[in-house]
Amino acid sequence: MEKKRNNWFSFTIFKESFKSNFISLFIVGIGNALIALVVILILSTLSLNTTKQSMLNMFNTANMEHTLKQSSAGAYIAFNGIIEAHENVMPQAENYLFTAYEGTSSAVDLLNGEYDTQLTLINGVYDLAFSTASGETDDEKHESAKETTLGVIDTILNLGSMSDLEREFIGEFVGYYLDENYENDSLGKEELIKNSLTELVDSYINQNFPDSTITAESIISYIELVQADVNEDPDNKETIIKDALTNVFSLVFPEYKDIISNVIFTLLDSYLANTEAYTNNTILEGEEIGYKDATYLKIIENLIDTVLLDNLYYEFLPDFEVKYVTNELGEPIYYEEKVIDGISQKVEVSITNLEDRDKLVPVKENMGLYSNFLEKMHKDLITGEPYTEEEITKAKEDAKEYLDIFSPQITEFYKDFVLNKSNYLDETTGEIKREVIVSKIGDFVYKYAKDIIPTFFEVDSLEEINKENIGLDGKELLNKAYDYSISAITVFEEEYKKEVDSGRNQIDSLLVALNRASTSLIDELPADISFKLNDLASRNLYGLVVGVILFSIAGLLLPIVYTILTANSLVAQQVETGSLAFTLSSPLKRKTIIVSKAVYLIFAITSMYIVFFLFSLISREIGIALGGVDFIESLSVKDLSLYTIGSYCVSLAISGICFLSSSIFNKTKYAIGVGGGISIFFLVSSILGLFGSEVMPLALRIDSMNFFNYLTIIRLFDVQSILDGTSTFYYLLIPLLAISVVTYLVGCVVFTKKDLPL
Amino acid sequence: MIEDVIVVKNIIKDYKNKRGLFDVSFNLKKGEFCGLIGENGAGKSTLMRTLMGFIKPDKGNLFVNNFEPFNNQEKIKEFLGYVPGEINYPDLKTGSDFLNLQAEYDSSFNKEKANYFINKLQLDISAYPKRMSKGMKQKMAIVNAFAKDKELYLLDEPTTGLDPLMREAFIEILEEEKKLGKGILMSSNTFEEIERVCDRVIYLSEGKIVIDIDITHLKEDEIRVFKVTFEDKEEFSRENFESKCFKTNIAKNELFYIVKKCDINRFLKRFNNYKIKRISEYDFSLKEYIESKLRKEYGEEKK
Repeated sequence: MEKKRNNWFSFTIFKESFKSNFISLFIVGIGNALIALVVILILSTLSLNTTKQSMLNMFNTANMEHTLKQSSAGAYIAFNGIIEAHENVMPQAENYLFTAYEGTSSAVDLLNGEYDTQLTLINGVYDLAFSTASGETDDEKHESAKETTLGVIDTILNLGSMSDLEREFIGEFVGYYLDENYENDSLGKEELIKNSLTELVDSYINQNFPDSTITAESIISYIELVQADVNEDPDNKETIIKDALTNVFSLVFPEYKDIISNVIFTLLDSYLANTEAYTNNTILEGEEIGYKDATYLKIIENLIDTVLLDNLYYEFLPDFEVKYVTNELGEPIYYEEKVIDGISQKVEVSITNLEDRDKLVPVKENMGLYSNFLEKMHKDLITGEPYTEEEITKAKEDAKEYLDIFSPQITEFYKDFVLNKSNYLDETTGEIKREVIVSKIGDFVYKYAKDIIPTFFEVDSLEEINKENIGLDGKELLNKAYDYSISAITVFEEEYKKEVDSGRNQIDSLLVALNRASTSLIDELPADISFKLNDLASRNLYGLVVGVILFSIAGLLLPIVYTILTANSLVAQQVETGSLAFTLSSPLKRKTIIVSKAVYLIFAITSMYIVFFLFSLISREIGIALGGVDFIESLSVKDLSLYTIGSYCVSLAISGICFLSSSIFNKTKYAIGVGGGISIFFLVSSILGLFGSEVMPLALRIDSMNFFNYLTIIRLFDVQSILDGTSTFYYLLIPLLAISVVTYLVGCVVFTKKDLPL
Repeated sequence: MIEDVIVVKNIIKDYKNKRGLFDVSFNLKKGEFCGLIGENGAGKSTLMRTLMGFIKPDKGNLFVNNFEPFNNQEKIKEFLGYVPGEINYPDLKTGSDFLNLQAEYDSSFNKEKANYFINKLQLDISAYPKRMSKGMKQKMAIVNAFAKDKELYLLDEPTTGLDPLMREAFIEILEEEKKLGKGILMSSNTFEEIERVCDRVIYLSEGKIVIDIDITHLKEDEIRVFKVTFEDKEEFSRENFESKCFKTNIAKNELFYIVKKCDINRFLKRFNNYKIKRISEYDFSLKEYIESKLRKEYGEEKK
């Protein structure tokens, strides 16, 4: 009975192949494993991550410097602005505002005849005074009677509940009213009132805004419109007047349109709610500061939340490389030839719309800088693409977070200022004491820095930033905050003055100076360099060395050499020497013989990689035990497994190529020449291509070398994808496996079909 | 058909430069001992390889035990044993490793028989096969082939490298196998072995079978060859045209005759009428026989 024979696999052939190739498999397997061991152990003693960390620290420190400087300059602007506002702007503004309000309110009342009783009374008093007045002429009598009437008017007006301002207004009005009444007998009462109001407003404008183009008539006609509105809805008189004032002030100060309504409402609400407390700045029960100061504070806080946020978020938008020339304000520019005073000159012209983008002046290659916040404001002009909605939303969230730390400090500062004004202001000149502000900002930045520094180094508290953990001293960093704040303020003051003197407007000067005051070392580097440094800092160097150097070059070399020799010795060499004749003269199918040999080759490579992987794992553990703690994060077991799988698939594909070559050729020199040649070519190309591949840090990368990556299947083992955690790695294994399957299959078929010279 | 274990019909394998096999046909009966002779490159090895199924002929049919060899390699090898022409061993530690592996490959491998041959050929199986001398390699190949129980053995120059003593032992082995009814197709450069063991000789030249003869009668003692030296040219020319003569040497006035044992007396009487210098018995060889055949086929041009 014939024994049923396995048609595909003969264990004896496998055994023979194993016996005759065992030594080389053992040596190469152990050799490769030792390479893994040595490389990984050496890595564990090197502190690659320290280099990386110090790079990262440089960037983080630069960012911190930038933020602290910007905060200092920002705080300087804010503190000075607050004092200026409190001392000058706000009192003046509220003066105008309240006058306008009371004036409008009273004027409306007058026009509506609410004061008719009083006016009749005043007329009576005047008439009486006139008749009893001493004087030669009527004019003299009128003046005398008017004086008398105005004298008693306070008493009359005091009968009603009037605010000081209102009373003052009515008093002034009565003066004009009596004049009008005296000069024009024939006028009706309404005409009289209107004329008197016009006179009053006219004199007010002449007194306070002599250069203004606004006429009293226009204001009166506006008041009449308000009056009409009030008559329609008498219950909402207050709101109607406030709205009307908002409109007027918006026309007068169009650049503050957005905040005017808020300021007006806050001030007026507060004032009308408790006029007395407001006027006297009374500290109400349970409050720290006066009623009026509290109102100011409310406005300041509101301004910070709205105005500041609207501009600050630019700072938090992602950086981009500025490849075109921009001016101090971050606007892209071009140069235009112009003849000035008979001399042809190049004049800077800023580009303000997208159509003019073709005029952009490119900067020298590799010399572009990273965008500052002013350039971010003009990103669409500079790059042609505006920020996306998501980017803006994210930036606003970040800015809000920043403000939440920033604004309480301002509040605190303001409270301290209103309570201890004498500390801040020079008693004689009333000027702000600079050194006090500077030291306040120092304190403020110091406090702020405590909160913010840890976030730059991604730790929870300042205590965690020490030489052991981060390589920097947290206390030293904190102390630097003072230096930063002083230098930022100094630079800001100088630059601001310079800009204003050069004729730039206040806001632009402020922005330019703020930008200059907040530059750090990194901001001055060309984007190319800082990008490269940043790239180096953000790289997983262990991944690079282990994944690329170890698994795709050093660790591949021995398996490839082994594969070339073994694939050759399994088939071509046996054909050439004739030793295969003995195998072939046994009752075995050729198919069985060649498949068994293929199985052996695959087995050899597989076992080699199992050993390689085990040694890598062991050396990783030893590395960790020896103190290479960075391993745990940078060289995870998962990554190590994926490196092994990738490298294994490459070896498998290369073994397929060598096997095919060995099956095709009857002569060793051709089998090795072709199979080995291709394999070594792949390896060499991958080494050369490495210099141009994205795994290489930018600083060392030679882009043109990337060409070689298209010549080698080894690059299908995508280390970068493993480092990035993307799935490309898995997809690229498919072609590798396909190459393996096809080459092995074709190799087997070729062998069964060909003549053997045995 | 059953009797013919090998059937070769008009096979052609063209390697160019007159190398290969050109229209070769022959049959081999079961138990036949056949020698294959020819100059180097005549196609002996190619024929062997074709029969082993290592090479596929360009044209023609061949059957080994009724199977086409190339596509039935595992089947014909149940039937065929083989000693390759060029012997190299796989990279194994010892000769016994090799033989053990071979035993695993082929269930017909008889270890006792192998040991018998090892002793007979004085083979050192503890040696490293790759470093063995030519003769040692040859001996191991012979042991390997004959340890397997096959019907027909293809031996491609099996005695190269063997010393005369071993050659003798090898011939003994062949004779033993012959008794067992095994067949042999053996190529060789030396006529002596073929002459001693083979019943039939096939002479290949430039890929063609030139001579295919039965040589059993040569070996049987029935035949004597006599060399007759004549007194002078005149006498010589009288006899020259006698058909029984197979070889002449005109310069020396010599003629060679093949004479059956029973005819010796009659043969000798024939020369009573001639002036004869000397009559001596001549040591006849296959080589000469073949050469004479060739002369007959191609005339003097083929030397």
